[in-house]
This record gives sequence, structure tokens and C-alpha cells, in this order.
Amino acid sequence: MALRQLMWLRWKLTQRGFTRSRSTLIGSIIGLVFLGPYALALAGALGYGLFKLNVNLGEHTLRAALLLVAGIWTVGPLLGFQLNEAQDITRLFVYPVPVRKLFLGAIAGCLLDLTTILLLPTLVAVIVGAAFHGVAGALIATIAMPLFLFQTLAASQAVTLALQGVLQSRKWRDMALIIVPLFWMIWQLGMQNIGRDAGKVNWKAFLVSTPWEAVSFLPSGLAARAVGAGMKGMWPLAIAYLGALGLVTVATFTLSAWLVGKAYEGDAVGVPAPKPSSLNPSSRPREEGKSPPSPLLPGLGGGAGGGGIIGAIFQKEWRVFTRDPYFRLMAMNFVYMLGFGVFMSFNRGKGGDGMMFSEARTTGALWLATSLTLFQQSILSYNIFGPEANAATLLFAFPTRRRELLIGKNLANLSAILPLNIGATVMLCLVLKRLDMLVLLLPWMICASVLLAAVGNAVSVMIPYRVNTQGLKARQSNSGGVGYAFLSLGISLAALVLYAPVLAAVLVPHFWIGHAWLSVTVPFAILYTVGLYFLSLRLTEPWLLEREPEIIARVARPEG
Amino acid sequence: MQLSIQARGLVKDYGKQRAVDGIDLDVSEGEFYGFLGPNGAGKSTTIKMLTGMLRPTSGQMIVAGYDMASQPLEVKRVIGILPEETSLYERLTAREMLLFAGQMYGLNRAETQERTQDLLGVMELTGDADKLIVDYSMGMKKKVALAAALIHRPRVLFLDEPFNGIDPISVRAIRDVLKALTDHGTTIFFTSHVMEVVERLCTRIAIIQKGKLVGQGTIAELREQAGEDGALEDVFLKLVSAEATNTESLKWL
Repeated sequence: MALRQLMWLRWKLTQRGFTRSRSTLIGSIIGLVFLGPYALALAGALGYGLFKLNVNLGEHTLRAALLLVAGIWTVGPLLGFQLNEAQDITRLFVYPVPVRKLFLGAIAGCLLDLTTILLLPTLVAVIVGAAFHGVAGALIATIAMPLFLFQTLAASQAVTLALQGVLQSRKWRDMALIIVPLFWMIWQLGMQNIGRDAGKVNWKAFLVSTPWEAVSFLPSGLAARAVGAGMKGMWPLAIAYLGALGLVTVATFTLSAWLVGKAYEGDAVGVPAPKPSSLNPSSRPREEGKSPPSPLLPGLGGGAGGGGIIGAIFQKEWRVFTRDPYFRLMAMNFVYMLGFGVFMSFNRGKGGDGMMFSEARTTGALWLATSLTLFQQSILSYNIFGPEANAATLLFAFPTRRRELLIGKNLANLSAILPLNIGATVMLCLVLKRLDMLVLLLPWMICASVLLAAVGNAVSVMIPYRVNTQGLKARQSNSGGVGYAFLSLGISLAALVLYAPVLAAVLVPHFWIGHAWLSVTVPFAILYTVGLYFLSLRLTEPWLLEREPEIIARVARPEG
Repeated sequence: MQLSIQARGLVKDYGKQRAVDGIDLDVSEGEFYGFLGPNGAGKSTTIKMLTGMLRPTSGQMIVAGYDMASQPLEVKRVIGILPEETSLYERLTAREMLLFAGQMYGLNRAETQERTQDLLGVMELTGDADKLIVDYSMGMKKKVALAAALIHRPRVLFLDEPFNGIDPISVRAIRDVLKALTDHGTTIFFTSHVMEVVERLCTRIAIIQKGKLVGQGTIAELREQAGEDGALEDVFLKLVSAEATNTESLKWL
């Protein structure tokens, strides 16, 4: 009875998720459209492989495929943990239903998840593929695949639910922002390497190696072995493996349910108990001025009052940069962008003769890479109040001159991004053996960064938008609808005109009048940039004071 | 006595809905002024307007002698704000937050450090001063926010539901701090649902209902207006015309 109610609850919440949230519905449709073909292709390939390959090779292929599936399902929750309302069984603990049953309901509810639905064709394909080898194969596969699915989902749910306390903790979420992108980067690199070196591996030796044999005794391996034995018509062996898989499944379920129950009883499986303070609070006041200064602030790290109000804002910004997940994610995006820039530079820079780079290609590659990093910078510069969120109320409550507030924020942004951009530019020029380009790119990067700050001040005041940090997702949410997004885009594009004089100052001497002229045009570009920055401050200061209530309304998170 | 807060014809519309409907306020210097009303009556909207966080649709506000419309920075220099929802930099520690706030109000380094230490002590946060605010409980966050609002010794303090989510020990600590502030001439304008605290602390009270003031004065004056001789809770319920809950339909309970 309770199980039926749990399934009903899960169905209702999933259904409401679609009907009440258009983004969930669209996300699921996009997921189906994009991932569906992959799932079907995997299913088709596996089914066809089981049918065409010899039985031994087919079994090894199945072992690898099921191992991959089990791995993704078990580790997945740790990487992209987001517990939705329907999955949170802790809400059901007020009812007189055993944890075991709630856990079973949570597993059954997984059948409604898109990720599970996408897995089903593969499991069906295994049954179909095995059926080509006889009744025994079909029958064993029909029993083995549901057992494997149940065992995998149980393990996955156990990981999610038992570690929920840790996974939802602020520290884990902060850490995951670094770990998850790193994992995917390593994964992609690994896959590329495997793809490249696949031909060089001695697969025959690998298939009889001890590590491969050992991992094949995992539940995924037992399922594959059972199907393999079934396909060979070896009934007793197939039934033995199936029995072993059944035992492991029951054990997984029992252990997982116990683990989940324990976790919520407070016996702390993975939920660290708060450490009692070893010091008497009253005897522990840290002396003022001993607060560790940020290592990134050598000039302004002298504790409170180091640089007046601008210094205070600068320090505050830096502390938030280093601790707020939104900025960590932005930093990771920057690393991604840089990686992409390097990749593109290599690809575009490579001439027909291997590692020899043609000049035209490397020039284009360098401009492309630097443009990408500047684009990344614009996300921060064009919305300097967005990350304040609710704290905007506090920030604007201070009676500081708004010019100081803008300068403090600009200095913090520039000090964070400019060294990265310049470092990346120098590195790319070194890699592509185009150090001659630095004479163009460095003035361009420096002036463009300051211009971004200048234009960004005005854009931030006129069209601020909310930034949301939810779980592992840090995203910008446009709090003003589509019209607002178009306005934002329009203003940003119109502002591109302001960058033209600086671009002309480096490109005209390079292409038309000779590099010697750079000594004249670059100082003019710097003067123009500085002038525009101060003009922006002058214009933006009164706008900011005028628009503070609107900015708060735009960037603060809605209640509840 | 000089007025600390003066509002005339204050109106705030959200689309077609009028949240605050032409209220007039006069709060004298050193007064502990309670601003009461049921949920959604317009208390927070009024405080937001009086502190410059929300632009009124119409009306005039003078705070500490400065016009909010033309001298917002002068007003902000002399007021302290504790909003209903804490608006702190949660990735700073309490100590860093207070040092930052002090500097933003233009205090010098030594003064900021001294006041930070004192405020952390009074708020009983010294032991947790170097933890990130994001890891604090709601009560601790409120205390940090209050300390940040006090660090520059404001002449007028606006507190929106300061006792929400705070344990009785902290309520007492905060109450004592507020009492000491009014003794030193600070004007306090605060909203609360805790009638006992309002009754004990406030020298004058205004009651707002559906955006309009339905009563204003000392507790004695409010009793007279309501024609109710009981506790402040009864006076309040009478003035906002709250009807008794009908429990007849819950006979099965």
C-alpha cells in the first residue's frame, strides 16, 4: 500500500515538475532529443555486437558496457548532486512507514527518471541480442537485466541518500564546483587518449588479465557472465551467476536500506557530527590585525583600513571572489575558455605540415583566443552588482561616495582578471612562437579590460540582473524577461563601438602604416581608455545613486 | 523635541496594488518607536522606503533632518538598518563583515577594530567570529547584521523584525543593547510581532493595517483609541479588527 502511495507521489511530483516548470519540461525534451539518439545508438550497437560477435567477445563487450553504466549511475549522484522534492525521502520520515519501504519506493521511483528511461533501450537490446543465441540466453538475460538495474539503482540511491547530509553541505558544494569540471576535463582527455591509443593496446592480453577478471566479479560482471553462460547454453553456470547476482542485489538492497536508515537515525554515515570547540569562546578572541590577509592582496592586505573605503571594497570583493561558488565557477569557466583557446589555437595554427604554424593562422588563432577571454571578462564586468544578491541592500546602505564603490569593484575585477588574461596571452604567444604579436595584444588586452570596466559600470547600473547559485549550478537568471535580455544584448553590442579606437590603434600600424607608429598610437589608445573610464565614473555615479532601489529589486533573490 | 523621522503622505504602489496608502509619521529623537501590523500590512515596505531601499510612489521623508529624496547619502551616514531578511556577505567571517562595515561608514582602523571586538563580545559571537557567516544559524546572522548596523553609532536605527528566529537569551541581549542605545539618544524604529517586547520597550507605537495607519501614540493613547483596557495584544487586535478564530468546525479535535 505504502509503496503504491510512494509511486503515486513520485509520479505526481514528476508530472507537476513538467506542468509547473516550463524549463524542466523543455530541459527534458532537449535531453530526450539530444541524448535519446545516443542511448538508442548504444543499445543498437550492443545488441548488434551480441548478435554478430562470437559469444566470448560479446560477453566481454557486455561486461564493459554494464561496468560503465554501473559506474556512471553510482558516481553520477556525487558529481551532479541535486536532490529534488520527489527524491527527498527524509520528508516522509514523519509517517509510520519503515525506511526499507521508503527506500524501495525511492528505487522504484527512479524508473520515472529520464536517465533511467534512457538506459532501458540498452537493457532491452541485451535481451534481444542474447535471444539470437537461443532460449537460454534470452531467459537468463530477461532475469539478469532487471536484477542488474535494480542493484545499480539501489547502490546509486544509497550513495545519494546516505551521503545527502554531506552532499548538501556548503563545503561539499563549494568543493564540487572545482571537482566536477576537473573530473569532466580529465574524463574527456582520458577518452581522447583511449580513442587515440586503442589500436596500440593488446586487447587479448587485457581480456585475460587479473584486473579485468577481478572487476568482472562486480554485479555488472556477474550479470554479463550470466548472460554469456546463457548464450553458450551452459545452464548450471548461468544459474549460478544469476544466483550470485541475486544474492548481491538482495545484499545491496538490505545494506543500502540499513545504511540510509542509520544515516537518518543520526549514526552519521557520512554526516560528520559537529566538532565541539576545544577552546573556551571567551578565551579565544583573535587579536585584531591578525586576521590572515589575503595572499592575493600584497599591497592592500594590511587588515582593516588598509586602503580606506576603496581598499575595504577591494578586500571585500577579493574575499568573496575566493570563497563564493559563483566566482569559483566563473574561474573554472575561464580555465575552460583558456583550454578551448589553446585547443583552437593549435588547431587553427597548425599548417599543412604538422607542427609548423602558418603566420596568418596563428594571428587569427591568437585574436580568437584573446577575444574569448575578454568575453569571459565581460560577464563579470557587465554585471558588477548581480553577485551582491541580497547584500546589495547592505552595500547601498553605506554612505560612501558611489565613485569609490565603483572604483573598488573595478580594481578588484581587474586585479583578478587582467593578470590571468595577460598570462594566458603571453603563454599562447610562446606556444605558437609568435612573441612578436605581444606588442599588439598586450596594449589591446590592457586597454580593452579597462574599457570593459568603464562600459560595464554603466551597463551594470542600467541593466543589472540576478545571479543564482543553486547547488552545483551557478547561473545567471535574467530577472526581467526576454525583452530585458534583448535590451542587455543590444546595449552590449552598441558598446562595441567604444572599443574601435583602441583596436584601430593596434591594427592600423600593424596592417597599413608600420609597427613604428605603435609608439604613437598606443599612448593615444591609453589616453582614450583612461579618459573614457573617468567619463564613465562621472556619468555612472549619479545614475547609481538614482537607481539603487531598482538595482536591489533586480539582483536580490526573491523571498522563499 | 526634535523629530528624527518625518513622513508625509507616503504611498507605495506595486502595479495596481497599493501597499502603503498615504501614511504620516512623526518620530521624536531618542524615541523607541514600535511599528506594528499584521502580515502584509505594509511594515517592511514602509521601512524600506524610510531607509532609501525602495522608492516611494509619492510622499516626502525627512530622516535625521535630511531629505531622503535629495540627500540619500547624508541619511545613510546617520542611520543603521537591520532588514527583515539578513543581507550579509555570507562568505565573509563575522569579524571581516564588521571591519568592512566600519570602514564603509568611514571609521578609522583602530576605532573599527575596537568597536568590532566590543560588538562581537556583546553579541556573544567572539568564539565564532572567524567562521564564515554562511555557516551561522539564523539567530547568529541577525546578531551580526545588528552589529553591522550599530558599528557607526547611528542616530536612527531601523529594525525590521529583529527578534525573528532568535532564542530568548539572544533576544534579551539584543533588547538590552537597544535599551542602552535609546538611553544614549538613538532613535529606534522597529517592527515586531512579539507584543511583550513592544509593550516593554516602546515609548510610542503606530499600527498599520492594509497600508493605512489605524492607530498611533503611547500605549495609553492606543488603549483610549481602541476603547480596550487590556494588554497591547488586545488593543492591537481591536485596532486591526481581527475577528476571533472560528473553531466550531473543528469539533472532531
